[in-house]
Amino acid sequence: MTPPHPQPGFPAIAHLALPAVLDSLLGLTTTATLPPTDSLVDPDPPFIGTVPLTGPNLSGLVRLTIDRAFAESALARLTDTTPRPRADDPEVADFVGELGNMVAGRIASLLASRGHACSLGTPRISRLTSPPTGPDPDPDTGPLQSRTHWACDGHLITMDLHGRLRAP
Amino acid sequence: MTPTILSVDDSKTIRMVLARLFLPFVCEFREAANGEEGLAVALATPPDLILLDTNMPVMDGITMLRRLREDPRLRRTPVIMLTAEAGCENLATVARLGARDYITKPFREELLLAKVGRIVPLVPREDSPPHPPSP
Repeated sequence: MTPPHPQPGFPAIAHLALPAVLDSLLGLTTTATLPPTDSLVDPDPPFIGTVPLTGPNLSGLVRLTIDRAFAESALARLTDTTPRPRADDPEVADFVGELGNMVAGRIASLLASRGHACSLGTPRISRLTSPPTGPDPDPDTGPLQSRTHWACDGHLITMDLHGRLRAP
Repeated sequence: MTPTILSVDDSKTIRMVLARLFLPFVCEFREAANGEEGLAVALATPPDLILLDTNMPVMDGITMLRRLREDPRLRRTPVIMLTAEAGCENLATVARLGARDYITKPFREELLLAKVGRIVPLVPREDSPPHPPSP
């Protein structure tokens, strides 16, 4: 018997979304890579963009972890400006939130094409050493379905995809 | 007459990208960070085109679009929706509310300029360098 809401294939969706967005947005190639082995505390901790996903039969979230240098370089590339040695935190945070929004949008489209329509929540930006800003995501975002590490323009990006199917 | 383009998007990154994109053309570019601000700016000086994000705090794009259509001064203002999600439900709603077009983020700059150019004339500034290609 076919279940009413088949598994959407979270890992496959995770592998499709980020490279497609970075290619369209920045013309950058993104390749899957191994998790980082360096356990030293980063003096300039990465930015984390979290976007909730909510639908009639699914809840989840997309979380991107991005270092400042990548965000600064990408922002400069997008706006045709020279990368500044240190962009303002709000500008970097805004870029990370918008990138998270685009990746989550791509994931939402892929989920919708598999019968799991969902909408995006407001992006939430945090850093590992500071309290999050913005609204808390829905606590019912489900277990980690996929964690992928990506190399892009010499930087590491980590993407987590949480998801939980529920009865409509 | 110089066309006025209003970008309503909570992301400063997107507003910066759009400002740069329209810089080589004869147009006045205005910005607002949410639907409420966007309505105020549009009411103060009705624009020739609104580029409207869907997902924003304070007032989202669909609510702003609905409010535009209820206002006799703005109900005919062309709107292109910018959305991160290509969900059928959203698209059906914005089409029903009379959005002229939509584009999914991340967008190709040439595509956005082509869609905008169908609604307002995009005349290159005499002193502007050729537009750089999209990545």
